[in-house]
Amino acid sequence: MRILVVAEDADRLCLALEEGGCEAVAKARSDEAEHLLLCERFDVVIFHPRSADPYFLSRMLREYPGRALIAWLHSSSSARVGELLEAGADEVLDGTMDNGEILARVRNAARHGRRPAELELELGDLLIASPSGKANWRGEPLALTRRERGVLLALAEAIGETVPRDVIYRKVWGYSMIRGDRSVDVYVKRLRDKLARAGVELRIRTAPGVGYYLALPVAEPSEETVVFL
Amino acid sequence: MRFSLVPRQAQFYDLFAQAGENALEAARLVERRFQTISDGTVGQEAVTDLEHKGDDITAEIIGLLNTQYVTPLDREDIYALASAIDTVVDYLDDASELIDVYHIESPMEQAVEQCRILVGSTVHLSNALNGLRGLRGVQKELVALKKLEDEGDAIARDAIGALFENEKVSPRLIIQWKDIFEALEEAIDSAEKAAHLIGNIVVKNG
Repeated sequence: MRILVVAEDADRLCLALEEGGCEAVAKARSDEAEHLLLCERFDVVIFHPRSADPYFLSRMLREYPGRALIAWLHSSSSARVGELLEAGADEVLDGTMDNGEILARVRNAARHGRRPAELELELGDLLIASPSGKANWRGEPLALTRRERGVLLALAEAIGETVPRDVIYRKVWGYSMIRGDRSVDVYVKRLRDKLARAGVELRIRTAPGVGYYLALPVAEPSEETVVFL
Repeated sequence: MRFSLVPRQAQFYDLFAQAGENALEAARLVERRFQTISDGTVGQEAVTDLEHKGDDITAEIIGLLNTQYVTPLDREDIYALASAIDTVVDYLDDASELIDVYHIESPMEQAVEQCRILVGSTVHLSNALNGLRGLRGVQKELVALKKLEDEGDAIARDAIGALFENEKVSPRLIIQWKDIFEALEEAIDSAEKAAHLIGNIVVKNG
């Protein structure tokens, strides 16, 4: 199990984790830790609330689903533990616990920690599974590559709303977009071609200078006479 | 090796004109290659063919130089100019080859802009080389080329700056694109170097 520890004084905790057969990487600052999260895969993130910035936990919850989040306190009070659990932490460790208890709690959190919920987005006849992005049109699976699925999912999650290019890039590629990079445009073009070939009635529209949005088909106007009273 | 006492001066000018046209063709091809990276419309083989053609023209100029007793321009100028034009095509080939080496899938706007500058620069270089025989209209081509080179410098600086604007950028992309931006910038600089040499030839022989 790979564990990222975000704390200034993490020696004792890392030693306990390594003795238990885990691979622990410590970072003193939350920005360093987040950079590492972009490049490497970790199963668990343990953070000291004082070492992390105040929004660290909410950012982790939003941007890095699927990893157990554990708070580590030197000493705890039941009010503080309750507060962290309410905010979304999967577990709270404190300095009074021995190595065995720390390991058992970390393993438990990793087993039962947050996993991305399996959702199915239904956009008319188009069904998109989240987070995999696998899509079906009228029961037929669409042959999309991993990145095409990611782009489709990013647009489908915000149906009708413009998703900026850099947001799509961040969600699909996992990094910040370099200014001038046309990767998103290339994948949107490929996706448009594939959706059109499969007869999908949804259209990816361009918001010039910003990004793209997924538009539901506009209903054909009814031929019945409309009487205005 | 035998020196020929029968001057074949026109041949030098013809070969320089061919070298300029070859550089222009290579720049146009590389521009299309960068514009269509995602489709793979233009393959590297076509660019490499032009690079080899450029090598052949350079070898022919140097061969002619070694066999001619009388040359229309100073020997060192002919040698330096032939080498400079060849270097433009070499760097174009290098930049284009990196697309395959690094498995680049999508273009970067700044690289496409650098290619636009390269096409413009080689148009002016080719015109200047065509005008070398009578030394007519050369100066205005050199001035236009210098202006484009300045624009190219600004684009290259901005392109490399964009790679480092955000710390959460893929390190792989930074390495890949920095190399490509630099190779394209070297090609633009080499075109300017060739223009300097033509400028000196004009001053000496005008």
